[in-house]
Amino acid sequence: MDDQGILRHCQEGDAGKFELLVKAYERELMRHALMWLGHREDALDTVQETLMKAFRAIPRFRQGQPVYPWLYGILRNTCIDAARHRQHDRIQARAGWSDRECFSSRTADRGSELWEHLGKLEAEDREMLFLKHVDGRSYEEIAALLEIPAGTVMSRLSRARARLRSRMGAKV
Amino acid sequence: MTESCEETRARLEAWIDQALPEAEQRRLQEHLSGCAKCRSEEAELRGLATALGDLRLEPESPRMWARIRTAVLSEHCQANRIVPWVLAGTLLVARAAEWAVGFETALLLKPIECAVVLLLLARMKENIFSFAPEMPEAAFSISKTSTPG
Ligand SMILES: [Zn+2]
Repeated sequence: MDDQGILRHCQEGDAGKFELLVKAYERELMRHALMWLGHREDALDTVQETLMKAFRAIPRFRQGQPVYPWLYGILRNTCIDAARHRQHDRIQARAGWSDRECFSSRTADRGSELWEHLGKLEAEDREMLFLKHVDGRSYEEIAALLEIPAGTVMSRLSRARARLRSRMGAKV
Repeated sequence: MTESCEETRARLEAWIDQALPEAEQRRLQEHLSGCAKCRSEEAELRGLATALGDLRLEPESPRMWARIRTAVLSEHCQANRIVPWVLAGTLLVARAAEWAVGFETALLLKPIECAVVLLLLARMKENIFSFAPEMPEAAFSISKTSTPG
């Protein structure tokens, strides 16, 4: 059964089918939550909240609408809220960006230096860099995921790269 | 005459992102072959792209269904319960009014009674088919786990 079919079943009252959707996308959501928050426990809570919000939003899901961008949009807003709360709770800003077990890199030292720098970027910049280089998505795929024009993807990505490079002292 | 350094810089990122049309690629490469400054810019951008591309986020399966299953199914049941109960309530009130006032509503009430019975039957069917079968825990722990390094 495809995603649209799963959501149709859910809309028709078969809530148990939601399990299939959860299992299809939980890892992808988890990776993206880690990218936003850099902290495993926070990411787990956020994905859980995202899925509950998605479940409640199923009656409003339009058939034919792409499913992952729909889920990603909910995750994105939930992560933004989570990050805001984290700052609001007077936890040192970006204190959560500490979980080194979140990532691995083929080049360990450079990877962890890069991870630290990424944590200091604005989340939107980090999102762009991540979607392009870690996920390996094309401009068009990112544009579809974020529901923005491909030209905007290009300019935001370029800005994000410039900011990361200036943080790294142009040394990579 | 090839393009200027400024034009080249603007196109380098698109080229590295594999989004530059072929015709423009040729002009870009012509410029690069004669310009050390732009070549070093290219090397830096490629280095950054490679370092980012080497990062891996491969979380283990977060087993979300185990975390949300109960909440999802109980919310669903609550929502599903409302409609038949509202109808059943209406029916009861109408029957009480009929008895108190002696107003003949029997014909009027038949369709509502039928709806209540149908809804309750539908709910029972759902309970049997969609809620009862449990996936054993092991069935979804098989999925691939992280690949460090
Ligand atoms: Zn040049």
